[in-house]
Parts: sequence; C-alpha cells; structure tokens
Amino acid sequence: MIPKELITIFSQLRTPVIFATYGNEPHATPMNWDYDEYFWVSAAGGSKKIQNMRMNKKVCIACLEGMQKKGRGFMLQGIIVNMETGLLCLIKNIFILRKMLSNKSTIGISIKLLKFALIYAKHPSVHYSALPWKRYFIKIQIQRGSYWLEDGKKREFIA
Amino acid sequence: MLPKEFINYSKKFKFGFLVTSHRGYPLIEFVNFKVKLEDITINNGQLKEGKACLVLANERYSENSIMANILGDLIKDRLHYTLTPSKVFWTNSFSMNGYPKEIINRWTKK
Repeated sequence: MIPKELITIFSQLRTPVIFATYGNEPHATPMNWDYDEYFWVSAAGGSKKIQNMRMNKKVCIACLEGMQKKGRGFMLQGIIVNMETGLLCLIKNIFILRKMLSNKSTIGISIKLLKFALIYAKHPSVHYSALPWKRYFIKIQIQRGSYWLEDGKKREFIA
Repeated sequence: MLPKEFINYSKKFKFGFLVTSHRGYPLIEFVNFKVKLEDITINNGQLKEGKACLVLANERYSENSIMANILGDLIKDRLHYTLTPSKVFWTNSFSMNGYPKEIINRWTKK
C-alpha cells in the first residue's frame, strides 16, 4: 500500500521529479509527472532514458519540494509496467499529459508549443523524437520507497 | 577536463542528485559536491563506486528549467568520493519568444 500521506504529497507537489534509469550506464533528468494509482512520466522517443528503460525496467524517482533540501519529498523505486508511443497513444493519454503539464509544472499548455511542433516536423535536421507523437508514456508500479514531510523525518514503506 | 564555463554554471546549485546502481535498480542520493576542472568531489558517506551520473537541476520545467548531467566514474578517495567525468551537458533557460525564434532562423538559413 502507498501511504496516504505520500498520496497527499503526490497531489500537492508541483516540482519536477528526478527520474533515473540504468542500462549500460546511469542516466537521470528532471521530468514532469503524474500519479493516479500508477506513477506516470513521459519521455521523448529515442532519448537515453528510453534506451535504458528498454534494457532495464527498474527505475528510481526522487522529488524535493522546490528543489530545496528542507522541502517535503520522496524517493521511490519502481518497475515499468507499460511503455507506449505513437499517435494513438498520445490521443489516449492526452489527459495524463495535460495533468502533467498543468498540475506538475508551472508552464501549463501553451499554443506556442504546438507551433514549434509543426516547425520541428518540417525540418529535416530535427531529432524526430522531439515530435509529440514520438513521445513515450511510461506507467510505473511503485514497489518501495521513502518520503518525508515538513518535519524532515524519513518514513519508509513497501507498496 | 570540464569546461571552465561549466564550473561557473555549477555554482547555481547547492546540492545534486547522484545516480548509482544497487541490486539492479538505479539509486538516487542527495549529495554535496565541489566542481573542479579535473573532477568533482562528492562529500557524502556511503556510495557505491563505479559508473555514476550527477544531476543538477532547479525547480522549474521546460523553458525556465536549468539542468546539468555529468556522467563519469565514481571512486572512493579516503573521506570523500571523486567523480571523474566522461560526458557532460547542461541547459540554460530561454524565453518562449526569443529562443525558439533564434533556432527557427538558424534552421531556415540551411
């Protein structure tokens, strides 16, 4: 079971997570995310993290509120249960993407971004994986982890 | 060797996220670090030696995000650890109106 306190943190934090994968070598970047029984992240196709996740389904996710050491946060280990890409997948998961952008980051959805997607699509030297329909949606089952509230006390759990 | 401009860039961050591996899982640790031209000193206690990746990031996503990723070998060196970098990249924040336009101009000249 995921502790209720942690689910509350999931619903309140708007800081990107640090998402780590390990294939032949480690890789991690900040990413926006969502939680609805499963943990969701979305990554550009062809990126290093996608290559790593094809080799190793085990991932680690860390978050500190406002990227401040004294902030609330969590550290989770999980396993990928599904990884999908393509136009149909984008359509199917558009609400998850919308939640990621509007609830878990400060940018929201901007029409300007769509304009750039068209420019990306037209230019031959652009990495194809930047296109929205090449984006992967990754569904993660949390297995264990730890979290901390304002008191800074670390609480561990096994899901 | 790390680029000199990266040393200044790294001063924007008070701590980093270090990724190593444990029982097949990637493992993230919050670490204090000091960047030098040759390597990066990491001042935390129990880390696993081997391939490691240090991530520096602010709290923003997309155009206001700044982040760096340093891949290298982590070696224990008495009381601290040394990360010898093999690959590094970093990003700067950009204006939604300015940065994409510059890119578009560069693309369209080709």
